[in-house]
This record gives sequence, structure tokens and C-alpha cells, in this order.
Amino acid sequence: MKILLVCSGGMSTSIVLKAVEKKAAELKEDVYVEAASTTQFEERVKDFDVVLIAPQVRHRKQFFEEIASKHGIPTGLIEPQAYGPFGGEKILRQAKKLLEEV
Amino acid sequence: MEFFLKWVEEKLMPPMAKLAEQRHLRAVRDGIVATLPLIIVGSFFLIVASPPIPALAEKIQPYASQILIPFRLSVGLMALYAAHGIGYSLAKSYNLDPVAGGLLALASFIMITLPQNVEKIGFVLPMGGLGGAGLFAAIIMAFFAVEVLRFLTVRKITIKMPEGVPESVARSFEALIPAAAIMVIIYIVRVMLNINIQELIMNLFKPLVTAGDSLIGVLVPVILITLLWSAGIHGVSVVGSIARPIWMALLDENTQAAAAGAKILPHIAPEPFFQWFIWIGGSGATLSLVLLMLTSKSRYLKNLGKASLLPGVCNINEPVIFGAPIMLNPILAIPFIIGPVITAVISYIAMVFNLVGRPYVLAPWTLPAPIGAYLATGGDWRAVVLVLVNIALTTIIYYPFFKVYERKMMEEETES
Repeated sequence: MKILLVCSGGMSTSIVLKAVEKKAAELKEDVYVEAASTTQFEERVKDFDVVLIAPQVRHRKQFFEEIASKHGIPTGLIEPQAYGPFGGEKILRQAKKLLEEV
Repeated sequence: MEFFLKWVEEKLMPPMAKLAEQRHLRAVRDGIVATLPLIIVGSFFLIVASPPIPALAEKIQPYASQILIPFRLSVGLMALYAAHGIGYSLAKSYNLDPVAGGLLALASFIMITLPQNVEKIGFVLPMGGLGGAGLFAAIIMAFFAVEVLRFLTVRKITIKMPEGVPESVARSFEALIPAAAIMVIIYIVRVMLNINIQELIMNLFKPLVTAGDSLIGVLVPVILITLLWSAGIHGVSVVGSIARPIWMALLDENTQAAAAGAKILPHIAPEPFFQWFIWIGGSGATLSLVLLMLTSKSRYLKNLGKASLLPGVCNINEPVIFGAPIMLNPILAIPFIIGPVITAVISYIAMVFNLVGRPYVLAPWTLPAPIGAYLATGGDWRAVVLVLVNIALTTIIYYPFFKVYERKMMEEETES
């Protein structure tokens, strides 16, 4: 499963990325995660299975959704409580759920 | 407070976020942000040319004008790079050829500057209007170029090549009519009617730049940014869409003055002022809160403090904003909003009275605040003192609210 995390500058998502990677390693799941800034998003999105949007850019959800849907990739909004160093498990679960719904 | 935060989330945030997502403002933001690496590296040559150590500065002085060449060609041409970036982003958002959009925007901007014939050198472009001072002209001309391109493309007024012609060739022909339209229109206005578009736009936006440097002009973005963040929205990204051109214009006048050897710079509030003296640890000056959390008796807050310390030192504070959380938290949102207002006023006053040097170097925003402030002021140790004073102040402001919240968290922890 390939997850793309998107925020404003790609900085804070890289912290969340580590949390997800750590949890995935613990659960021995094959997960690849990448963090993207808003400007990198368009180029990177096509290589992923699912897009998760950071809460602080949720006002841009429509913009991300439109681009991702062109490639048939589902998008989800990360819950504020899960967006931090301890949110790995929640985000993994959310990504899986989004993929199942497709 | 709860009611107030609800109001921010439901009433203030949606229209502001919508405004920031407006196509043209987004293009301005992305276009200018794309030039930042050049500005950051370019402005560092200013420090090299006049280092903070007097003895060293004296030795370097004879070579200063040579050291400043990369600065002049990066920061000094800021508007030129921005014009291309804005045109590119705007064309892309319309699904037009972004390369054509960027080039036409660049051409439109250059064409409002008249070349001068200088003896022995030939024709030269005066650089004065191509730096930060020309930023607003660059924005308007980029809009003009891309809107013309769009108008002609939508109405299919372009030269279409028959099928089989390579795409790159076809594309160059498609841009012919827009290029002709743009060049002729600007030629008529600038040369035949002799209207100085550059100056006209500059004068139009001058009041805005002056206002941006006033205390009110500092407090309005500070308050809006913390309000938006307390609703969990990236405040700087939203407010910056509108304020960034003003901050860059202020920065440019300061860099030019510094490069000319001025001791006291004209402006207080270019972006580094906010970044290093107010947003210490991230918007809301949350480094103080992180430090308080490290000492907490609440297990959760202590762990969060540990995990947030390193990002906090680098001014990344999403872990605290969403983790503590500060977002929609009626207790912690109060110091989050009030603290920066107080440090903003104090830092502003300190610079009005020249107790601390004014910022003119753009350093990467992920540097620790004392280092960033030192670099931004071209190596003023008093800037470091001001940062430390501000950290102490915001710690005091956070403390009572933190204690109330900590007690609440500990009660929850013992219950579960």
C-alpha cells in the first residue's frame, strides 16, 4: 500500500510519516509512505494508492480531490487527533478503509 | 471562549480560506514561494559582504561590490523571477501551457521597463524596477499576460497546425497570436502613450506597503494567523497569500539599504520579523508551551513535549497544535493568540527605538529562532537577546493556562 501525505510545505507531514512507518514496521505491513507539499502534490500523486490530507490544509480538500480523482485515487482527511507523533495506527487504519471502499 | 472558537471556525475561517484559494492569489503565492530559494541564498551574500565581526568586515570591504554580484542578480531581480513563477502557476491552474504562460508573463513584465542606451556599453535595462519594488507590477503584468493567453485560447483565436506537426512546433505557433497581442498592447500603452506602468502600479500599492510596516499592519496578520490556526487551519499559508508580496517589498527595500551600507534600515516588518521574533517554535510561539510540557506531571503532555521538542526548535508545531491540542481548545487557544500579540508589540517597539537591528536577510524558516534572528539582522547579538526575552514572556503567558489544562489532563489520566 502506497500512501501520500500532503500538507502545506511537506514539513509537518514528514513527522507524521515517521509515525506511520514505525507503526507499519511494528505490524509487519508492507506500506510505503511519502510526504508532499501542495506544489509537489500534482506530480507525485499518480504513483500512489491513497491520498491523506493534513488537517491544516483541509480548506484545500477540493483541489486535492479533483487532481487525485483524475487518477482514480481515493482521498481522505486526517483527523486532527491523529496528525501527530502518536497517530500512526489511526492513519494506517484510515488508509486501509479508504482503499476498501474503492 | 468556546463560543468564540466556534465563531472562528464557522464564520471567519471559510471566507478567508476561500479567498486564499482564489486562483490568482494562489498563483501569486506559489509563484513567489518558488523564488524563495534564490532570495534566501542571494541574501546570504549580504552577510558575507558585511560580516558581523568589525575587524573582518574591514578586510572584506574592498571586495564588497564583487561579493554582492550574486545578491544583485537574485534578490535584485526578484520581480523578474516572480513574474515567471506567477505566470506559470496561473496558466497551469487554467490548464493552459504553463511554459507559455510563464514566458509571456516574463515578457509582459520586462516590456514595461524601457532599455537605456549607455555609452560604451550599449542598451541596458535599469534594474531598479526589477527587484522587490517591481513585485506588484510583476503580479499585475503576469495576470495580464495569462488572461490574454486564456482569452485567445478559449475563443480559439490561435494558429492551429495540421495534424502530424510535432507538438513542440505546434505549441510555438499557438503562442504566436497571444505573444503578438501582448507585445502590441504593452507597446501602445508604454511607448506610444508614454504611460509609466511600472511607476503607476508602484504608487497604487505604496499605501499598502506603508501600512504593512505599521504596528497595526503587524498585528492584523499576527492575530488572523493565530485565529486561523486555533481553528486548525494553516494561518500563514492563508494570510501569506495576500501579505507575502508586501513582506517581500519591505524586505527588498531593507536589503537594498543594507547593501548600500545604511546603518538604520527603513522597515521593521518584512517576513523575517514575524518568523524569528514572533513565531518562535511555530505560529503561536509554541516553543514555550513545549518547554512547559517537558516538565509536566501529565504522562501524555510530557510524552508529547518530548516528541514535539525537536520539530518545535525547527518551528514546526503541528504536533502541538493537533496533539495537545491547541486547536479548538478554549484553554490553550487564549495564550496562543495573546502571547504573539504581546511579543509583536515588544519587538516592534524595540526596533522603532533601534534597540535591536531590523531584519533584512531571509534565512530558511526551519532554523532555530535565535540563529535565524541573528542571521536575519545581519549578525546583531541583541536580536538573540530579544528572542530569548520573547521566549521567556510567552512562557509566562502560557504558564497559568498550561497549569489549568495540565490538571484537567491528569484528572482524565487517573480516571482511565
